[in-house]
Order: sequence, then C-alpha cells, then structure tokens
Amino acid sequence: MNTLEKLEWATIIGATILLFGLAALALPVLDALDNPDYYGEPDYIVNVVASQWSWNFIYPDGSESGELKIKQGDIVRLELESKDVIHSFYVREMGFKVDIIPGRTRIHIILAETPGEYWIQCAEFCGAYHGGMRTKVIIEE
Amino acid sequence: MGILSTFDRIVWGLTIVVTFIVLFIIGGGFMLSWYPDPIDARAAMIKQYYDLVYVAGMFVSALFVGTFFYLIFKFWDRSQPAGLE
Repeated sequence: MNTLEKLEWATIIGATILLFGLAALALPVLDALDNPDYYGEPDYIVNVVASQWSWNFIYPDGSESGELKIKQGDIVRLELESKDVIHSFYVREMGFKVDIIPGRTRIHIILAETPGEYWIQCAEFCGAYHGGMRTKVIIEE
Repeated sequence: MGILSTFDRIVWGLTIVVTFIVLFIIGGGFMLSWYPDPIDARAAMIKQYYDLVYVAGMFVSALFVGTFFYLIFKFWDRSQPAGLE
C-alpha cells in the first residue's frame, strides 16, 4: 500500500469514526429533547396557548397570565397549542424549541433549576409582529 | 519515504494546527459563543454536544482548508508568470 492509498484509507476510516461517533453521542441528546417523560412525573401541567402575537399560560387552578411563572425545582409539563398559525416556543437558556402546529397539542417537560427571568421567543415566523411575540419565563426561588 | 518527507509532514501538520487556531479565533471560541449559559442539566448536556460538534466541525474544516493551503504553497510553480507583470 503506497502513501496515497494509506492517506485515502485514513480519511475514509477517520470520517466514518467521526460520523458514527457523533451520531452515537447524539442519541441521548435527542432522547432528552424529544422524550416528554424525561424528568419523570410532573408536579403540574401548564397549558400554553400561542396566538398572533401573544402567549397565554393557563395554570391548573384556572388562572392565566402572559408570563410563565414557576417555582424553582418544579417539574412542569407544558401542553402547547396554537390558535391560528404555526408558532415555536423557544427558551434559549433551556436549549430547546418546540414547534406548535394548529390543531395539535405538543408536550414538553421542563425542570426549573435556576431562578431568574429568561426570554421566551416565538421562533417560527408567524406574521407582521412575529418579532414582538416574546415574553418571559420567571423561575422564582 | 513516499511523496512526503518528514519535513513536509511537519509543515502540513503545523498548517492544520494553525488553521484550526485561526478558525477557533474567528469563530469566537467558546467564551464568545452566542449560545447562553444553560440553566438546567438537560440544557447543559445539549450545549456540551453542540460544543463537541463545533470542535469536530472545526477540526474537519482545518484538515481540509489546511491541506488546501499546504498543497498550494508546496506545489505552486513560482517559475510560471502570474499574468500580473
């Protein structure tokens, strides 16, 4: 085997190892993103209703607010629905986006670990005021 | 010895390392990354994977771009007119 052949094989084997290695490491990440039971049994459910161009959060006691307020340590199951067009629920610090399709309920579970205020931004273009469709998730101590 | 001498291999390797460092700097590195600090364990795991993909992508890019630079400088025939004289 000459040098060029060695180089060729090294490239093929190296690229294959890299590809399959990254794919294997991606599996737990994909599970974390897609598994609605990732954090186990939720403490309560919050319904999230997206519409042009606002967010509405409905809590188990029937109260509503324009900001998502949760307590530190709570495991919250979000049930997300859209009234009109496709929206996307995006919290950068939590590392996920959930596309909300009209007529379907999307489920996502979150764990409020670090107190603070973080932006919730619609991440799917949904009309003229899409950029202004933002609110906050407030994690209280 | 093949096509490449030991010196050639050292220069090639250094070119890739320097390209990696340059890509790391112009990419902002980790400290200047746009991605914010994660606030829960799942987000930390996701960011860790993104960082890994970022470095792996940069390594592959450095390998290709560095090899490209190395080949240009090694085999560029400087005796030929460039057409700019």
